Amino acid sequence: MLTKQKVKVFYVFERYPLEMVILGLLGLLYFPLIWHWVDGWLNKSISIQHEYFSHGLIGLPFAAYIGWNYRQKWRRLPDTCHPLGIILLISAAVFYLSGLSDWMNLSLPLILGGLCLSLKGQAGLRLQAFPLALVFLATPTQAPYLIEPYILPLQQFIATIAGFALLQMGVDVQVDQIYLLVNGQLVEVAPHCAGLKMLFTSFYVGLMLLYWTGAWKSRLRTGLFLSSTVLVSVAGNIVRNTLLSFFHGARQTGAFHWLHESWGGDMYSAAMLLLLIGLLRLIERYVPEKLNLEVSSESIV
Amino acid sequence: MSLFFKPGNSRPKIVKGLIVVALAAMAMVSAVPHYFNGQWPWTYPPEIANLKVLHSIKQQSLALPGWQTLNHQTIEISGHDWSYQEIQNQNNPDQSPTAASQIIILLRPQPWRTNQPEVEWLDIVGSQKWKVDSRQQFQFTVDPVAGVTQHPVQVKARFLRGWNHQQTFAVVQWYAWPGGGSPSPGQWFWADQIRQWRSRQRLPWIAVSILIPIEPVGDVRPYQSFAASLSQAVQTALMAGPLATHLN
Repeated sequence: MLTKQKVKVFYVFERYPLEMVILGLLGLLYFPLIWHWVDGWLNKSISIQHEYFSHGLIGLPFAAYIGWNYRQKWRRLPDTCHPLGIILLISAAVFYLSGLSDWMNLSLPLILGGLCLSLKGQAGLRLQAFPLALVFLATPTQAPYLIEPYILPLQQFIATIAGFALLQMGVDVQVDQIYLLVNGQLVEVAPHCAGLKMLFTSFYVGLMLLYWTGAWKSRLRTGLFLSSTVLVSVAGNIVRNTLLSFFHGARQTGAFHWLHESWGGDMYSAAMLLLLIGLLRLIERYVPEKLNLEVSSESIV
Repeated sequence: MSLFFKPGNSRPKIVKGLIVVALAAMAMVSAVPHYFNGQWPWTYPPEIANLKVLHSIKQQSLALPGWQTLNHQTIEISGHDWSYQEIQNQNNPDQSPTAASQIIILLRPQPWRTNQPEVEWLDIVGSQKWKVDSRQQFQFTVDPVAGVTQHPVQVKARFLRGWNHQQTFAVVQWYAWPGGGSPSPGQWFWADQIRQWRSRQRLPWIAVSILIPIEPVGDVRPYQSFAASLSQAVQTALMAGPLATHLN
């Protein structure tokens, strides 16, 4: 048994020595960096921008698993080198050597994409497109920081709807732009509170679900699911902000903290993600793979 | 060697070989040494040269030629510290172009090296319960500061009217940094990135708000040139003072 396994391991190294060396070197280069990411996600010790990408905790292992499962198909692809691959590899090397952590992060998806292109050409990139997308979308960058100033309209929208909902509940509330004045207590719908993170996570988990269930093969179901993901996430966030404003206004500090930063927030996230699974099940059951708008002449007869 | 020179499929092997060599070189240069000393780049991110000098504006008011400081203190707006400074024209306080002779300058230096500008203006707008309108932008140029900069510096600022039931202000706002300024966090971000690549240092910033009192719900346009010249003086003073040590 042991010898058999040993032979198998040796076989891989003997048959694909350079591939194994490349994987080993990638591990050497990126293991500490990914460890640093994971540490930041688990302990929330790096920055708010970094936390936006905490879905990488499930996304990165999933991407590795899919990529590894494609190894038979990968092997069968003809070896060919696309020049763009070399360009990607060079820029990844420059970013890695810069020692600036945002750019070092970005070098991971670049180097992986560059390897696909320079080892197997376009077909290689196409084969690994989904796991590569999962890695790219889980790579911590400053993108949320650059987006935040532009989501003011979303903040205002959430503040307005939350204010309206509170009014219906008979709470004394005034809305001014992104501020809710509840019983004389000022609540701000900050960019982080506007659910940008939840939106990112829902979208990411949505992509994983689409792939897992095979629903991505239908463009109709994919489009419908992703757009309803966005809607559900925004709606869920309005409910969350309404509750937060209510707790703050009613001076229920304990409840406020529970939902804002304690496990209430995690429970809210979990509920949202469960909702996504339900949503996808519904779409699979009731939405056809394709809209068939042709009227067949036989059925009329 | 036989790996590289098999007939038929030699080119892909060469590409693979080159990739291995390049990755190995990368690992030798910038990963392996860190495994031994444990000092990974992210444990030592680029620093701000002198955060203390930046914070000196909280203790010491900004000196503006021709203007007299009436009052200087640190106030809290929405949980953040701002330096609050009231100034008045030294020579002819009564001939000030504004409705009231006192002008307010609010300054907020970045609190910690990891803090990036995050549209700090909203805190002021929210705390004063302002209605905001007549939004515009203007540009001004700051002449070289002797011994600090060689080139003139371009600064963009946003100009607007903020008013509530008590008072109306013409407001100028921007982030000042050594060698520039803009109301957009994005502009600061890219300037900061360039600086990190060039000199492995972060770009410090100070959020500036100038509040010029005008007649109730009055037109802000007549005050624009006055606002621009005062903004110029403020940026110059910041570059000669708290931001000076950060220029190189």
